[in-house]
Amino acid sequence: MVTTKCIFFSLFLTLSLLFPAYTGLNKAESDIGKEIKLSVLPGLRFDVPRFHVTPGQSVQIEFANTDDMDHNLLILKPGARENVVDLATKLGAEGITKQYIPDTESILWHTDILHAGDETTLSFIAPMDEGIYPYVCTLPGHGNIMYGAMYVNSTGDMPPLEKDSAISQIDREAGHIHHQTKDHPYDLKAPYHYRLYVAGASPAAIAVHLPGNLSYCWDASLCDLRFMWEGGFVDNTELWKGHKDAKAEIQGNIFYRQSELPSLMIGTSREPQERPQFKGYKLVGDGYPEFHYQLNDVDIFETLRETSTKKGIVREFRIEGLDEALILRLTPQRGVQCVYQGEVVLNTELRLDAQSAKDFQVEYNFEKQ
Amino acid sequence: MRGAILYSLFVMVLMSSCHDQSSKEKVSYSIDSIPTPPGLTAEVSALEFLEDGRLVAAFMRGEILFYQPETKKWEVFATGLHEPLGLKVINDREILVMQLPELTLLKDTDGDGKADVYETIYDDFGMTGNYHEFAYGPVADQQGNLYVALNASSSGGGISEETRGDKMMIGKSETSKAMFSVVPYRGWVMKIDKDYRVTAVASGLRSPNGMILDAEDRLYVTENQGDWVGSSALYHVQQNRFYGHPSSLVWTEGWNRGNPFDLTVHELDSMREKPAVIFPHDILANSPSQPVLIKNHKELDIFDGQMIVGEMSSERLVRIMLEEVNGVIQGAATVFIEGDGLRKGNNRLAFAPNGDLWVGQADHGWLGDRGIQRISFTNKIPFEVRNMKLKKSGFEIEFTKPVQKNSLLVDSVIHARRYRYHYHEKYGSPQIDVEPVRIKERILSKDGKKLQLDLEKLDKDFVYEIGLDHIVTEDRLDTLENKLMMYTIKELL
Repeated sequence: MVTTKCIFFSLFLTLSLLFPAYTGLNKAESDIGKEIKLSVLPGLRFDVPRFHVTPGQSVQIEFANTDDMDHNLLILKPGARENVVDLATKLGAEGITKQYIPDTESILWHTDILHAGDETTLSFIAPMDEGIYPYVCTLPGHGNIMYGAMYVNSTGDMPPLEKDSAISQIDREAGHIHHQTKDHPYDLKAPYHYRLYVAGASPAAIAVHLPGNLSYCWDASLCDLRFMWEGGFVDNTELWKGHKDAKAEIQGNIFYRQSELPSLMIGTSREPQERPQFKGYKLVGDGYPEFHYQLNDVDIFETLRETSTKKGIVREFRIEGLDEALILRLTPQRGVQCVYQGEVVLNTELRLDAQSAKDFQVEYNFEKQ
Repeated sequence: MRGAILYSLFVMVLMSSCHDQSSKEKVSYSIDSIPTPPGLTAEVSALEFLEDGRLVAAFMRGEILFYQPETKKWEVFATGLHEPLGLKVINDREILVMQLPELTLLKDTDGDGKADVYETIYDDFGMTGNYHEFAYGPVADQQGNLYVALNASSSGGGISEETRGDKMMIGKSETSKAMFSVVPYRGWVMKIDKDYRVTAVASGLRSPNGMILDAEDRLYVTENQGDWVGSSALYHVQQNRFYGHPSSLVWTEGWNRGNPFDLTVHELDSMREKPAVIFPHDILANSPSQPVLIKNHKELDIFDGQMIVGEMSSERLVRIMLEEVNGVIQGAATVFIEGDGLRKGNNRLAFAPNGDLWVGQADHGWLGDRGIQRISFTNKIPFEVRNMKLKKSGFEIEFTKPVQKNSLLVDSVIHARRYRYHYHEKYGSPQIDVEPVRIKERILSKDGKKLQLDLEKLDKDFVYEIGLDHIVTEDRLDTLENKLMMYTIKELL
């Protein structure tokens, strides 16, 4: 593991000795010192877009590289960012040995390169001259996006975030409440689906949105229903950014979760079964996925639709080549009724003989609040 | 959309009528940006063409769209896919797509222009839910075998509660922040034959965001700099070889050596197959992506058999020239196109049937850009190094046009140096053992096109960088624009 160097500056001592008291300053604030915890967000961003210190205040930046790329941290003289970034880029292949720190007086303080997971502390005394001091990562290509501003002044004044030209555009935009109106170049009309990462299923999950504001998650690695919900679909915002194991957020209320897996068992022996083989799906009707998988050489097709009352979801099975009985396991849940052939199933499982199992459906109805 | 700006560079046209000016453009081409439809987040994850000239583009949010360049019309072919990073067109109604969880055959069975069948071809590999478990390909060889590559998992992320496939925790380092492979075949290239039987091909990959087969059916992948990858590379992938990233070794048949990260660097180094081409970091490419092969291309015929590779981190495409030395593939790389309106994030490349090179851009949390651009070539032959070959005593550099002899007279015009990179767990490597190499002799062929450079020192396992400054054509109309050639020596003659 790489050890990162903590960089302490003799400047701190020197200044403390030279200027034992800072005239005109809020003494209490400067004595306390400022501690900043800084880390990295996905998409070449510091998690702190800007911060304020008073002139001469002692500053300690605890910088953690929480990204999967290398980064460094430089604090620069006002207005020097573009030039320093340019000089760092020009280091070319020498950059890595020089920690992407070009030789210029515009750099006040800096760290070395931090690899993923490394942490370091940068301690210094804030300049006496008031101004906006940029901080930036100078790894190739990063410096034009990955920067922030240290405001040095005695008043604490900073412009509104969304109007602050000293911070990066993405941080400025974060100052606005920002909604993209469309997720895709087409209108979404249920039924539609996403393959995605979502909690409560394997990474090979499929989320399907049905008419009636109903949704379910079907798992392509287990070939099984995992859960059903109503009142919304999924928010993929974080997932689509693509970083740090983000998952889709379920919108609405989960009303049924299949706890006993697999839910469908061929035969009645309850012996562990082979792993089912997912064969894909076909969009039927207005776009309902009909899932296809194989289990013990039997072809199973499953389609889930909203019920006619839109108060639940119906699982429809079509099984080819079945010559045995089967069991469909149900997970009793408060407020949910499972219905087979018009009858509420009170048992935790539904047993069907080979004939009736060839084509059957079960409704999962919830009581709307 | 950002893609709406139109660049039209007809510099070459201007240059050819201004003989007294030194040429600034290396190739005769123009770049324009393709407007993408409203609502589309144009992070391009795959690009291909239908035979009829329509573009097939996939995007990170799971859409596959068709684009008709003449009418500029976009149509939706498929939706809801999980990061579809590769496409292979079978015909206009059947397209293979590699998405995170599986290789899928999309079929439009009713002919309405939209896929209605999503048939799973291959999903028998592991997933941990880690954001970095990208899946690349497929590319097909001449027998119809398909190849895909599976990214290792990132230590920047974790392992979800639920995973797919057998789990083997020794595929993860206990001490370092290396990428890991705790479920089957992360970090491998896999082969799927016509009957959909799957074999594991080769291990040791980290983030192979680009696959290609050359005209002789040799398979290559590009690799991204990181832990155990000192500088980005192109590997010639062969059966049962190991390409250097330790994690995936655990899925080698009969593996009994415990956690591969516990092996010494020396042991791992002796096991690994080295790059065919190294892309020197911060000089040529920091994040190479998809290669395309130049084959039967009217305007680029001088580079026939060579490859063009995308680069994510800069406004650049890279050209690769390979050769076989002692049965080993190795070669040189240089810049193909830089700037001129080309954006960053060059993730996917595809030649249209008419010869235009289409480039799809993505960023996805990394350095890059978004959108689609088109590079159209003209008949003007650029003044470039056409090829670079290893000789017993140095290199032979072949130009696309005869060189002005006097321009070679000054010593400083040609310079050579060499360097190599560490093989270690640290993220990337600086250049090491950097030294200038004296050029003993330079001999220009009678036709003025081939320059032989005899070097004082010629050794294996170095990148040789040849700088060619101020070289002009015999007719003094063009100056060589791409002046740096980088040759990776694996084998000497």
